[in-house]
Amino acid sequence: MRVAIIGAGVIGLSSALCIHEQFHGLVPSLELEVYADHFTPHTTSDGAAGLWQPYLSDHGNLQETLWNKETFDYLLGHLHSPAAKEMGLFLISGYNLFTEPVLDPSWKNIVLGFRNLTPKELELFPGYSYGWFNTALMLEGRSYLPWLTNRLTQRGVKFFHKKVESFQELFSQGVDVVLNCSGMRAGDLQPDPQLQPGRGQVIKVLAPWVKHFIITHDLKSGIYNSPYVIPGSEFTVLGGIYQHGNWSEENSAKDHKSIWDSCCRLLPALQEAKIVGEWSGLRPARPWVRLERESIRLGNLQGEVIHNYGHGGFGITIHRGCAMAAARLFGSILQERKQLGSPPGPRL
Amino acid sequence: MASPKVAVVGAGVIGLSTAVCIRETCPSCSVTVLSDQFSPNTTSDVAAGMLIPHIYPDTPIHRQKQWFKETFSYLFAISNSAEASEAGVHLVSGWQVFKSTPKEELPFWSDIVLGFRPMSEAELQKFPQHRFGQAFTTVKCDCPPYLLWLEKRLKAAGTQMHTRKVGDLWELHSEYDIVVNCAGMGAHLLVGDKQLFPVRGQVLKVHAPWVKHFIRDGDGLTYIYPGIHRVTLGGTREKGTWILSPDPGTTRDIFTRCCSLEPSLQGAQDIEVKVGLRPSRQGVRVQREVLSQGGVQLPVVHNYGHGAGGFSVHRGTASEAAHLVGECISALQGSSSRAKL
Repeated sequence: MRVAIIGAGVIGLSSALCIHEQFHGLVPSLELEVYADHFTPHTTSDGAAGLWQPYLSDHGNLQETLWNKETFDYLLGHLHSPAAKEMGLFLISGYNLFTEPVLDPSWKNIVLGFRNLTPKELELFPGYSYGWFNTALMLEGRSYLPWLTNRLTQRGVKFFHKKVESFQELFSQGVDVVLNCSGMRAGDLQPDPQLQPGRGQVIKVLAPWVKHFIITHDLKSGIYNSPYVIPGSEFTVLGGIYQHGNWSEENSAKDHKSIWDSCCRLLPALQEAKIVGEWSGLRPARPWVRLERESIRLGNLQGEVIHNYGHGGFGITIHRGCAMAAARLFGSILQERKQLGSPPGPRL
Repeated sequence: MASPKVAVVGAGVIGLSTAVCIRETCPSCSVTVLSDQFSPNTTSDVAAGMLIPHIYPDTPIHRQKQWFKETFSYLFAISNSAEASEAGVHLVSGWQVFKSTPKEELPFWSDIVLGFRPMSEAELQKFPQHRFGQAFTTVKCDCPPYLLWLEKRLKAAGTQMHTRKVGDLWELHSEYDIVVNCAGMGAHLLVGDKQLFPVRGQVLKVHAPWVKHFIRDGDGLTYIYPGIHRVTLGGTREKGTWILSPDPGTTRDIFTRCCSLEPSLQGAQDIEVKVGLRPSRQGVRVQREVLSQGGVQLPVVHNYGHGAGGFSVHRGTASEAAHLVGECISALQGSSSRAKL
């Protein structure tokens, strides 16, 4: 049974790992192959700061909140393992700031030590009158993706540097199941008007005295359009750009100035920070994550696709829950094939 | 007395901050800092600089609280300013954990630090050997940056700094009107204070930039304090030991104890070992004294004996000492005007 995963970001690699972990002993000739035109450190996941934090509201998508929780608990369980450093995993605490009181987020009981900010703490952030403090996790893509790649390579998963043009291309080569983890480019494989870029830009600086994340919110401008500061293990990420529908991956001088000015207002000492890089990326935004099976038919041939894309700005936050769900969908495909008894008809 | 000449002996955090306070309260004073050691070779440079108070048995709690509160407010303002990174002052959050519930669940400083609260069950799961804990946010002063920043401010205000080993405070009476004794452990010989004793501390300073929280065992012996570039791992409290050279067995022991609190430290790189002698006393000596010898008088203000709590109360004791210097000046001016009559 040949399974092809399209995409080598956090979603593709973690889905591949979940499937291999759960099924390689059960399915005799399970062969996994990862196809991607970008590998770490050139994926969207590599550009993200790596902070585990969902959006403020799940808009009733309880399933997404459950996947977020599953991811957090999975990572927390690995915190004390010897692999943590190699995974780029560590605890981090910090502040979410608002200009008015807001409802508690869907994830308040998932993170550790969630509480409101005290008046004295709010003195640190003039202009903000309300906020939260909590302890969450960082999972740095620059470390996590290589770690996932190593685990997969050890398990015999093959990697192919190739841009897949269609699902049919893979089925005609004998692939049985395709995992579509193509993120922003899923529309190239199958049109999806609900998938839109949420363009972001970040400035990477050296500011090792900053030990907390600080995320500000402007409820009128929308998520990530307000300054944020996220300290990583090697550098600190400054951001605050979310442009819906903008496909440009070029750094914009105007956005640079907006990020720099607003972050320095937030933390005056950042003026002394040395800039070491800048990056733009496209969050693969969708009203909800597309995580579902699809049978692709052409004539009397068929193949199975498991879609797992559209994670917007919370891919790292939700990845494990989605990977496990994708693995369950794969399991259901296996069940059906067994129930059919005889092997399936000629493949597409 | 137009321009009183004040000598501050000692250039650790106490000496430098006291000099700063004297300059602030008495702009007409001429202040000189004298020390045999300057940063990075002072006791303060070994310390992590965490604002978590040490309890002095002989100093009234309200006075300790006042010192801590003043110091915390002062540093809180710096941490929030454009100078924070140059001054080495930054906020850090974390946990103090206890193997058995402490008698006092609410220390006197719980309303001064930020966001103080007991740890939740979920948070305590990170510390399987500990049953109770407190979470809060406090300030850390990294050295050398903090001392260098104080030195820079002093120099900008015209304060002279000289490397000089002062053997006896009387050496200074011909050049200075008032002497301020911030000699730390040096006060043992300088003023023969038998109540002052060293408490040896060995620490490791390691590269582990993914560690963003402090962790402190309530017994005060094991702690992890992340600074700007390095994480300080500690420690020891060896009373009466004067040995300044690091002990390899102690290094391994500290590393083991810290790794059991924070397993990811196994991956720490580039371990530096340092030793300091905490200038310890049952109570901090912040006090005026007039030394007398052969009809000559020398006003002295003492500010030493901060032991394990120097950083936590430095600004508070410095401003109290500066206030005492002000009293010395008034006394001198009073007696000089009497002399004129």
